[in-house]
Amino acid sequence: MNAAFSTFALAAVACWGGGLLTRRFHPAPGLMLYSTGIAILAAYAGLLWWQLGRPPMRTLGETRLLYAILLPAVACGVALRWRLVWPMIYGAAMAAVFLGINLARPDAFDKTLMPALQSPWFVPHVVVYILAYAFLTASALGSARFFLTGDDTLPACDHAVWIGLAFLTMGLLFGAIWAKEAWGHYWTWDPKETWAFLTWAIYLGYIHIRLRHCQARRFAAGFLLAAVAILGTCWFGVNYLPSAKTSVHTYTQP
Amino acid sequence: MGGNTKGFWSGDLGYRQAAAATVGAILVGWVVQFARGGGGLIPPSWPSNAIFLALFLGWLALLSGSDGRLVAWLGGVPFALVSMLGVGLLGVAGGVIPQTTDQSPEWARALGLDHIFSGAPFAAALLLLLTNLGLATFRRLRQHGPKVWFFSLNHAGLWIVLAAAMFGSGDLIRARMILLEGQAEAMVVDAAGRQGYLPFGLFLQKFSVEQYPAEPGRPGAPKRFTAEVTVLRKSQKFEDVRIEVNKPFRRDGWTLYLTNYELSPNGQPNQCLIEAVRDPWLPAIYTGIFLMLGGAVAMLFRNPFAPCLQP
Repeated sequence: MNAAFSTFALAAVACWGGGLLTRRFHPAPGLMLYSTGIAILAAYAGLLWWQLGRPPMRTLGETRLLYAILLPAVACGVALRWRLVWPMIYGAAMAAVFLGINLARPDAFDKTLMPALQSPWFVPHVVVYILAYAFLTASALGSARFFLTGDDTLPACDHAVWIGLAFLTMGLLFGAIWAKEAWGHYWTWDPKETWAFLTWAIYLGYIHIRLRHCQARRFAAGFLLAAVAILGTCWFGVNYLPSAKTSVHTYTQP
Repeated sequence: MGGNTKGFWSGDLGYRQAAAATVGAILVGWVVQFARGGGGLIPPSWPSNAIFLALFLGWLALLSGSDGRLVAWLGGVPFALVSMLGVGLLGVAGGVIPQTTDQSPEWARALGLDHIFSGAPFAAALLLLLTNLGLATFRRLRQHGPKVWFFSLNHAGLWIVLAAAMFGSGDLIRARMILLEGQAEAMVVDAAGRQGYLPFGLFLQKFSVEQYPAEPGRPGAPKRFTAEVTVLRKSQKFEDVRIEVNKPFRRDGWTLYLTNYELSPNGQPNQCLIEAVRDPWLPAIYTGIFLMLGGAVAMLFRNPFAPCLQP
């Protein structure tokens, strides 16, 4: 399956690159080619699901695959809505990095799914979470562009955070409902839960700051970079913290 | 102090005053905690927690009717941001330092760093946030228009979740029970070692573990645990039930979760660990969760930044 993965990943990256190049001259076919790249990865995820006999959402590597599908999709949506090109470029580059990490660290593709994960909440919880991560990291890419080029990317960032926070709220609450069914309590301040709360709180803070202080643009852009550091801690950094040994939710490392 | 001729509290109330209030509340919490030897708070239980909550809610409702500057500040955005920062910074400490009271050094225990989330400083910061959130919600409910609904779903939902979780924690019972194959049991033991009894007994007929097939270099992992249990109740028919992970069993206000199992000396699984939970405030939690879910869905259809888009 790993040989197949490198083929699919390279094909997807080629489609994104080709699509972005084509888009400069012919927008519609360029967008089609770019979307084909997303579809190729989605097909791979479908194959993997069928081969493993469980949703490919359990290991850190599998969440990276899901992210590499959803981030370019989100970038397409943002690009179309705001008539921008850079989200598609940044989205494809970021997704390619994550595919590269997966190529460098192939998962063992363990078929097992521990009983606690066998729940109808598993798929919606992970999908809305990775979708939220895609929107929120897109906002961080936008803030990086704000500092690098001086472009006014903040309107697009604001909307990415707004949509991302909506999905993050759903993911957090789905997780609480699921935890009640699986472990007996909806919230136990497990390190992963604590960082999920902190991630939610910092983006909630961003929304309130933006609605109150529109003009503080540099502060807002800097705040988004700090926020994505918290998000990264929640997604994979928590595995390296002193508190990780007490967590029941850390992703299985390949 | 205030930076101008007026005093710190008599001039404009904003971020600095909110920071002073938050730091003050957290410090008071720390002093209380330190004076009590560093132990966590013992949350009040029914009915005193309900009385406290009702008084708190009534106070917020009354206060929100005032249009004074103090109330506007206490229920405003700067106070919200600063009190969230207070909760957040304590949360960062709790997210980095292992929250395991049995292995932590003495100084960490005395400062409450190994049980941040049950400590008085965190409770103080959360109470400030609840005051702000409650006032903001009540003040908005006194207005009219579609924005009120959107605002209330999110803010009231969060207030209900936080308040019910905080004030209801004194009534939450999470206890463990060990079931041995071929034996009956009704006793449960909580994390502090206190014993209690369920209103019914459980007789473990059979405990089985289904494994994934072992692969080269990888032992078979458990796929499914099943406890086949007979529920024994006074002067009622015995009832055969199945408890599995993610499929808890509910009866008489208790919910029983299968959490783990032990192997017998011959390697066969013959006893299982049950978590018995009683959480009478759960309907309030779910009410808040579903309000917030409604608010999250409504977010997808709104554009709040129009005023911000003009340069």
